[in-house]
Amino acid sequence: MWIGLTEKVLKHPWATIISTLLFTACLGAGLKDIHADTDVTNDLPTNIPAKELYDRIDKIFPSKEMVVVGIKSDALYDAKGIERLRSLTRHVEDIPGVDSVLSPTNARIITATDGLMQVKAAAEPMPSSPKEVEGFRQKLLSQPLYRGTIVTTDAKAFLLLVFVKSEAKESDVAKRLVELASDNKLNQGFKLHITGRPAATYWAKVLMGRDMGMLSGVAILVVLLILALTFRSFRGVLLPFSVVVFSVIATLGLMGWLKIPISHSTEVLPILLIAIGVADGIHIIKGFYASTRSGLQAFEAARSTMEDLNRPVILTSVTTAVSFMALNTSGIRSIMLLGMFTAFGVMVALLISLTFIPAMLSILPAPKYRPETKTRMVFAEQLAQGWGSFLVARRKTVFAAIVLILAGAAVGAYFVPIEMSNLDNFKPDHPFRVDTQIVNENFAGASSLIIVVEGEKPDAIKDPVILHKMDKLENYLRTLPHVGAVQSITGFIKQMNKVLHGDKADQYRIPDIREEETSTEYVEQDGKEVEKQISFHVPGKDLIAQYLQLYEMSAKPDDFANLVTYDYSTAKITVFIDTDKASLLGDLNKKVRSFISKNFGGTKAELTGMVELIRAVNEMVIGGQAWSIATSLLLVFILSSLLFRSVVLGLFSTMPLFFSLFLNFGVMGVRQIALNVMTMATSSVAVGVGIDYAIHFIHRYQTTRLQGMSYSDAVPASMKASGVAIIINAMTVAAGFSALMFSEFSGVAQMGFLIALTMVTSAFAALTILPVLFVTLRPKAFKGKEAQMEDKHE
Amino acid sequence: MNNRQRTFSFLCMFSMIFASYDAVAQQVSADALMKKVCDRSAFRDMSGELTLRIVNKRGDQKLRKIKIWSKENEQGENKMLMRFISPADVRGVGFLMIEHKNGEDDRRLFLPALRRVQRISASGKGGNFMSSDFTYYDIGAPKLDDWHFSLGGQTQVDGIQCQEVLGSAANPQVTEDTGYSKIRWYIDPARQIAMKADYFDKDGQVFKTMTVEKIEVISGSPFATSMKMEDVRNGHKSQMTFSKLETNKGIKDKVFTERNLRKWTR
Repeated sequence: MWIGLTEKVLKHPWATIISTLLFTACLGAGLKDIHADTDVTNDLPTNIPAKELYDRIDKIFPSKEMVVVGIKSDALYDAKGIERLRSLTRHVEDIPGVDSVLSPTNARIITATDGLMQVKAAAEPMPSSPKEVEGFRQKLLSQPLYRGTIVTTDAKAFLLLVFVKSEAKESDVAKRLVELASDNKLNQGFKLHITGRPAATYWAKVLMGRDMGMLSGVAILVVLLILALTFRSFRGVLLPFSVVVFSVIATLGLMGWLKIPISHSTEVLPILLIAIGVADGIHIIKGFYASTRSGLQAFEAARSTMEDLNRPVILTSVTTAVSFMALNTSGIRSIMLLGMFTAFGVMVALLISLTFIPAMLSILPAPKYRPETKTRMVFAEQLAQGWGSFLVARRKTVFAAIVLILAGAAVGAYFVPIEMSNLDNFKPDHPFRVDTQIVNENFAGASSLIIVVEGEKPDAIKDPVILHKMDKLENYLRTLPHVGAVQSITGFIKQMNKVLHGDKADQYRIPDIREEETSTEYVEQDGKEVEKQISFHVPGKDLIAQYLQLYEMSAKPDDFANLVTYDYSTAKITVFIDTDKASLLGDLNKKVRSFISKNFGGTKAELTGMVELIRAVNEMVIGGQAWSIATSLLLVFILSSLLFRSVVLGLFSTMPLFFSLFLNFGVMGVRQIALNVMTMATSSVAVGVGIDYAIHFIHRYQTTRLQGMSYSDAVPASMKASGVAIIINAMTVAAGFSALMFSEFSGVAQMGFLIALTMVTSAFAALTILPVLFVTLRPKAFKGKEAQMEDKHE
Repeated sequence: MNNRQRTFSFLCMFSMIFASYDAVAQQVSADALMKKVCDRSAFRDMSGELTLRIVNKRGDQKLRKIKIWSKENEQGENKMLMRFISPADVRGVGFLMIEHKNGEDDRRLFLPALRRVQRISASGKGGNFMSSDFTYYDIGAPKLDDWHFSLGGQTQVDGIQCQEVLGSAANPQVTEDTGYSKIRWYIDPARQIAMKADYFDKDGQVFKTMTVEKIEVISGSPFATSMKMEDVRNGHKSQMTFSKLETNKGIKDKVFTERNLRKWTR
């Protein structure tokens, strides 16, 4: 198969080598444009309402996300502290990309004294005496808008909400704030706890950079070490390794050309390619050494090796690529990209393995004969053969053991948590996680859910009917677990209603559709002007509109820009939440949606924001996982059926996969590793790479049977011929993947662990379950002419 | 807080864009030119209608029609009354402002829904005028002391060769109060009228641009009856258009009283 290609390559080795280098260089030039994007929300298809709205918010409101900066300090108890906080606030306001900052010093306080309505920053004028400081604190704490939101009830901790401009890069703003936190002069001596989505994005970017370099380095070292131990020669190390390097460069380069950023999913791509891509080279070099051992010269050895291996190498690569393509069914963008580019990289590795390696082998001088290699190999082969004989002898026990393991795994799989949390992805001692926990414990929460109420026509939000609906929803939200605070325009309207009605507590409410008001009028009586109390009815809508006009006369209209649109057609409710665990958010989402559908009658209210998107991603992961597993299994089944020209053998090829998948989920259940965006890719690797071992073994067993061996005798014989290569292959891939366990992200580390485990289990399954089944079931698919004859005597 | 710097001076806005026919056809210094542009008072009182159109990035617009009366006393202090005509929900809202040279301005708002006058405090950075992209500072003339002026190049604005004058904030407090670090005016030297102005933010970036869209001759003097302010950062646009302008009609002082402010019934 494909021997034509090999012959052409061997005829023009230099042309092949130069073309390979040129090909890699051309694609690799794209590396200059490679960039990182750690934004999980980009994963979602835009046809999800929450995502569509999230993207649209950029155009509706000046700011979408905020950096939450928590500070635990007694600063609000003395004038100097307040001054320091004011300086800090101003400094943060000056950071490029910052839309606005809400802090205890600049929070707008609406008061009415002696008929003078004031909208002033809390620290305006700056309090100086202890009494003024006390007054400042009371003023802040008396506002339902701020108490419990930006300042704790004891005023010993407070928040800076840093709104990032919609058009700015949120991670850049977070970066500046993180830098500010460690600048002891500019941070005014405050210990800043920086969290919120922009901070998560920023830290993810930093860690991903570290990961990409470090993990690839580890993977490369591991692979080099294994190659060196296996082949103990330069060509044995360098040729398979260059395949890996070329395919990584070409693939990342292509991503650069296509302007596709590295995401938290695709960051594992180099390691995937390193681990998977090296396998072809190993098989070819091993075959080549075997050929030279039998006395062939370099050129002839290369030719005969490729003649023997073209077929399995192509097929194992194609099955791997195809099962990665199955990730496209997930609908999650970064996962789809991971699937497609891994498939591309695997195909590049295949192409280079089939051309560059034989070309190099043919021009390098023939290797010297190495007796020690032979002894080592012979010993390993004897072990494999022994394992084969053991399986045949004890097949019932082995079978029972496997059934037991499967049953155990099934139980474990039942307990797999389906969870996603950006926070849990960071190591427990990472500053982001520590800071976020501090904010979650002390304040309303570091995550935010956004509810956009669309009135669909200008001034709709001034309508008391809609405002009452919003207010009801907000009150309901406050009763829900994990909800720390709720902010919207309603708070300002209620506060204004209160200050304009004698500052009475019971007037902290939204005006009704029709209100009775009282006032004093001057009327002429007996030629004199006298005061007269009057009472009259007025539409609530006019009251609200005029409150807002009053507010706008004395403050910046931008004050409301993040709460309501310019034309008052759309309002935004921000809900502070102290968790980002998708499962908890799922509960919250259900409750809020059902409340809205019951109480909003006709008014459009849609949920979005980071927490809603995380929840949506998680939901897709669950559905996507089942689909991608099913698709990849089906595809590899079809491919291997075609390869063996037998549906039965196709079915056998997929059998070890069930074992490794079961075990994967079983271990996830036992170790409580959550199924999420990262760990879901494991199954595709399990299927795509795991199938190789089955294909190799079945291929060998079929050959052995055709040579005339009985079902039983063929097991140790195939094991001797292929077992060692399969084990080395699996161990190399597993070792490569285990580099991921050094990741800064727990999700990636878990993925590395699971893939490494899966490589071992699928190789084990191929070398255990298949032989047991073959001997027990004696499938007819294996009967060659000679074999048929012999079986009669068995 | 320097309230003087933020003092609303409605009349001054008109004087700033008023034309002067006795233009000196010689090279003038930046200071002298700006003084000429700003420091004149062409009329004692005026009245008219103001249409304020605010358009955001998405193209949503907010339209306000307001009637204005304004008068200046001997001390150069301005009084102004505004009355909302539309939209309907703020119809009748009245705004009275009395400038005090030696103290905070008196600002009062009449809310017909409550039939009550509410005093409001003058605070915040200049403050946006009626929630438009114009600040109170923009519609007043620049306080000459706030800026160090220097002459720039010549630029064509609407086919008129204009003299650029760059004003840099005299001190950080000016930037703090106005939100501007620099302003660049494009002055038509013949008519001594600003045709355009660029406003620089604290980082030295132009973020707002004012352009005069229409000049009419009112009571014998050219007058900018339509101007547009564009905020390039948020994509907002605000347009002020004056109509039915009348000057020197002898508006009485009692127009600018709380009593008159309250005098409005549906």
